[in-house]
Amino acid sequence: MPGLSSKRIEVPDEYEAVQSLYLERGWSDGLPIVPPTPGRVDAMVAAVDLPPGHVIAEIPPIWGSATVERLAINSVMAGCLPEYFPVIVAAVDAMGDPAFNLYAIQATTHPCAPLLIVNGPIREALGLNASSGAFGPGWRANATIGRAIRLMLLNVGGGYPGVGDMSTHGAPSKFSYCVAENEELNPWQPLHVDRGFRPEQSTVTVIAGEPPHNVNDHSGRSADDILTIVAGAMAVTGANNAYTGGETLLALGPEHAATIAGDGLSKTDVVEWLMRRALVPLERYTEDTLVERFQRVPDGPVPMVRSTDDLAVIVLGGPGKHSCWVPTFGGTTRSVTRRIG
Amino acid sequence: MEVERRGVPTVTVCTHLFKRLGDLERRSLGMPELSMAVTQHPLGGLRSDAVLAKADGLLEQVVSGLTGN
Repeated sequence: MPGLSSKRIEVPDEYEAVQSLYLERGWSDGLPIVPPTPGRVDAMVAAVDLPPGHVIAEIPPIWGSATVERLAINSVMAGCLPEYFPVIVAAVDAMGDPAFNLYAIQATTHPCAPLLIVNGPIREALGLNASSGAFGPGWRANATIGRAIRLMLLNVGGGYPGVGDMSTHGAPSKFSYCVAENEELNPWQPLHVDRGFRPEQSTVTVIAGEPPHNVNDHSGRSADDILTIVAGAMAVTGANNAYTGGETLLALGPEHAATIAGDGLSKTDVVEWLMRRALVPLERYTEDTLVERFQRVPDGPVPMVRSTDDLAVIVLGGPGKHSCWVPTFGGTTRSVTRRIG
Repeated sequence: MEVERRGVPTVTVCTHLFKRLGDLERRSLGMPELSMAVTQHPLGGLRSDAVLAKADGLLEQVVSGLTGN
């Protein structure tokens, strides 16, 4: 196996010296990093059956080559364990698919970030959180896999705020954005099986999401009750998806999912229900805006789900009567799923 | 860039706040000479008369970018 080729930098073996070097050179997300020593990077590379120089994707906007070695360096810096590395490699491969449109995701003024959704047995093997607080802190695998992706987007892709990443506000999800689906409490089949993979295969799906928007429904006793609240939360004037369509993500809490499935609805039924009911009334826009954004005043309300391909449904989270909706960059990006390993 | 590569003279219009991203992109894709016409930010949310005024203000840069003069 060929060795590592990155430039070596000697630095005093002191915490402050190492952290200052990375922060001053702009190689960090602002947080302290784990020093990517050759031994640590070697161990990360060894977790996949690929040579260090193998290019997984070219990362915009500077189109830097995401080699296995560079991904390994950023994964070490993020605090990943080597066993997490195949997830990162598969996610970067997915992000390199033209359908994902990574250039737009990196450079846009919109606050989207690649959200990773992990499916299959690797979730348990890595200790990925799919339950209470799945989008939040406390789980090394979620936190550091997501952070490795962001460090790669910064250091390999040049997506620095205000330079290569023009997001007007940024988003907390640009630090780290990685969850596993709660397959155990999913009354339907999981996302990767929807997409043609076998249940025993492990996959990662990337979708260019805004941070999650919460949907609280503590009173709903039926699918109609809950989906009516979901539809209302999705029907917002300012989402990119209102203007340009595209695919969004509905992450149903297990309790909401159980009630909906208990009424006999399939996932496709949920999507079709929301196609009919997640609609933005035209009176929420001025006529000027309608003409500007839709070229003319539309005949009817603006649908937030234009086709059955335009809403991915997963089950996520722990106990509680909440779900969340993740709007995306819009009609010029699609989620992409890759097998891990 | 693809249009320029195919031999059709091209000018990219951007605002001054996006010029750095444009510079980064044209350098990274190996076309540092690709012409840009730069106007004051913003381009969005303008009334028609302001858009026309911006277009007038850009004309010289666009012609120069297309003709190389």
